[in-house]
Amino acid sequence: MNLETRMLTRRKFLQTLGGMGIGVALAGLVDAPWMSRALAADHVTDTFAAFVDLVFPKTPLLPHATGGVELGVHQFVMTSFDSYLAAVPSLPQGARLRDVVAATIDGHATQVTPGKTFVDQSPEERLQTLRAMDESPAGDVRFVAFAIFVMAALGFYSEWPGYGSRWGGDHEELDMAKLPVWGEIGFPGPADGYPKLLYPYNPGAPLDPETF
Amino acid sequence: MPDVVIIGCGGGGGVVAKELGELGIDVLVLEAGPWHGHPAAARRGAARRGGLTPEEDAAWGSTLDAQWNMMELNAGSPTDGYLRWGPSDRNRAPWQRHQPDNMFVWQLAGVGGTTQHYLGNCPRAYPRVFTGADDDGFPAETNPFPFSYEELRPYYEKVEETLPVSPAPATRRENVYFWGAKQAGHSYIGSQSGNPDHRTVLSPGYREQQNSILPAMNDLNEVGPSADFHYPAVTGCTLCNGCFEACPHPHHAPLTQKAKRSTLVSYVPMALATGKVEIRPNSFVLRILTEPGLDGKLHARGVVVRDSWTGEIRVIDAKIVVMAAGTIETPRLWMNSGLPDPTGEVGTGMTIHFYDWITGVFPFEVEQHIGQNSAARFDYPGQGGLEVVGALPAVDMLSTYLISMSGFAAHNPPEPGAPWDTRGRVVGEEFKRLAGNYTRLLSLLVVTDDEVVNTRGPDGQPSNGVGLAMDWPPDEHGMVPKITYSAPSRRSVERRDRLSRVAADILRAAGATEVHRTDMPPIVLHVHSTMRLGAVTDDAAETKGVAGVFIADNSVLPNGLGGPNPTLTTQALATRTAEKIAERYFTS
Repeated sequence: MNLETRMLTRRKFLQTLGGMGIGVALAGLVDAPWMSRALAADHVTDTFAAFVDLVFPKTPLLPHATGGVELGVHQFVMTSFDSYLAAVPSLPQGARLRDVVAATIDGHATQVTPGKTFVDQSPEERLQTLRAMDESPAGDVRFVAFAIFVMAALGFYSEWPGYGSRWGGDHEELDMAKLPVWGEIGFPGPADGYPKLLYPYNPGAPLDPETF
Repeated sequence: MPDVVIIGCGGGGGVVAKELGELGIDVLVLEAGPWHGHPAAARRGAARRGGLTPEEDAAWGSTLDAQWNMMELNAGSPTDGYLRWGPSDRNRAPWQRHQPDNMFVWQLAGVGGTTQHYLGNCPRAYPRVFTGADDDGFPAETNPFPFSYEELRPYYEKVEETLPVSPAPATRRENVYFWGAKQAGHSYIGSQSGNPDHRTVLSPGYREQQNSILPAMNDLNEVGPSADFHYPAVTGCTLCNGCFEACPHPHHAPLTQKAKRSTLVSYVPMALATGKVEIRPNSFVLRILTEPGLDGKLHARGVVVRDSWTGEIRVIDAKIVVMAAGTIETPRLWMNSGLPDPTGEVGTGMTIHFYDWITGVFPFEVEQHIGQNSAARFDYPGQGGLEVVGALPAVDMLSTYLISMSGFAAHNPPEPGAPWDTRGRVVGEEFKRLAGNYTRLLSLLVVTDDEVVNTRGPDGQPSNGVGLAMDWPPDEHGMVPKITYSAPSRRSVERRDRLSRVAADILRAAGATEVHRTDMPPIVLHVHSTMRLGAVTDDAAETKGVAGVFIADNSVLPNGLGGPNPTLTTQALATRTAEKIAERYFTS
């Protein structure tokens, strides 16, 4: 558990959840046994890794083989949450949104499968947890359930893995060796242009694409 | 003291500035965000008046080449991308908005506003959404423009000539779509159909987009590769597929010769060239100031503006204020200024074309990564439309398989009779299999004729619209906007479903072997009608609550235009509004 997280008392943490409208969904869970574990930094990381592995698993038998965790996409998702809502109202000093999100996921996981956090769940149980977040009466929980997919997709399919550890708002030279995903799906990377104009062309008389 | 202050330099504000400047009226434009291309815009004092010299035009173009590399994260990260809703300093957090739902608002700050990442699509509104429209068998528009289509026609023509707008080029992707549309039995209604008034759409059919993108050269395929697609050997569009990442192509072109005609490269340089317009970035307006007039009405007196780089706050006097901050920020600023809302309509009735996204997997190459992001469409007056969209991988995978209002495809039973095979998010190995087909996927965006719903919840928050987040503390610009889209009308839901079926049928007819329906949650990209013409303003877009305040962004559109993309209509209306401002206040 890192220093910031240790400073975060349970009470302050729940204030944070309340500030996001998430407290509604978690109000009954103040003394839940998983709460202390949920605040541990390693467990937070494991929770995001479990999510990324659910969505983008390593699939050695498919041409699109690379998995999200091996590229560190869960790290990207965590830092994105922290900085996207850096000014979330009532976030206590030193708290990070990643902790709030991970605890929110676990709060729903333990409702779907009592006694199990998201990390402990099977893939099908994790889907049910995310579905429960989709259907939460708290709007901010629904937003989190949406945003986590946005951030995961940006981390996995954008140029992010090619920056290595150097991403900091500048766009330095990309290391293409760290971008296996583009090659796997046939994307050559952003280009200056393509010599692929159909000309002359009449949309009213298109060509049969099977023979084109 | 300027004659007119314009708040926001996006799709609407830039147009009003150029038109007023050409009439000799002194204009100050206050833009909250950065000024891309301006070599000094990262520093305070980057305000500019006066046209660009040829040397400056070239230098500003080179600056864009360096700033905009079309990488999806560097461009589009909502946290710190060069295209975001936030301050120039990318190390600072984005500006806050409360969007408490499964939804996402994708607007941009900066000179050019959201036209920096728009796809340049410039269809006109359907004539059926104006007063005096002919009966076409579908229910009439409930919030029509308070004047006729013919009233706006000359302004459409002026904007189409100024940007300019032209038929989009076809690549393999468009050919696959056109083939499917034709095989499905639809009519071609585009520029080669023989109809000289093809831009006026009265009946369903498919066509190429009319885009504000300089045409690709006829011999692009021969000249482009050898010239590395660089200006001046190559002019116009290079088919790079980077519209949404703010394509700066062709490289080495002067600012004003960049292919995609965001207002940043079109109307803004024209406005500067009048010598009457000053544009000031990093300037976030906090309040509109008013004073009682001798006529008993409230009149505009000026604005309070905060330098979003230094934090300095100052007052600028002006008798005329044009609000063009966008469909979210304009009502927010109205409410934060404590201005009167005699009709109770401010912030209500937001329309977003209630998107869906239908995708086919093809057994042959579609090359979705080549061409203009959206170069073909389907029009269905009375229902909405469809747009062919090719996107870079992150946006494409998100839109296709990773967001939904239908949970997960694995949990959803088959839908007998539906023309799609699956609906809802797809994850895991099945997702990886589908994603591996990236270049063989073709997606159609459903743009619904989204009805205006102007109800409010028990807390006063508009069901579909913009309120103030009462339970959030204010940020440096005042109360934070709260954005909701919780009550699409029954008709909007039915239209969206019908259009999704049309889309799936076209993809099948084109040869798709698997069809997927995203059931997209509210994605707020085309966003309009929170300060509606006729409801919040009079017919000239001057607000009923305060004399001398006009509205010139998408918020003033009285409806969702029937489905067509909003920018062209907002620009035509802004051209007309500039004329009205001059007539009412500057005739001497």
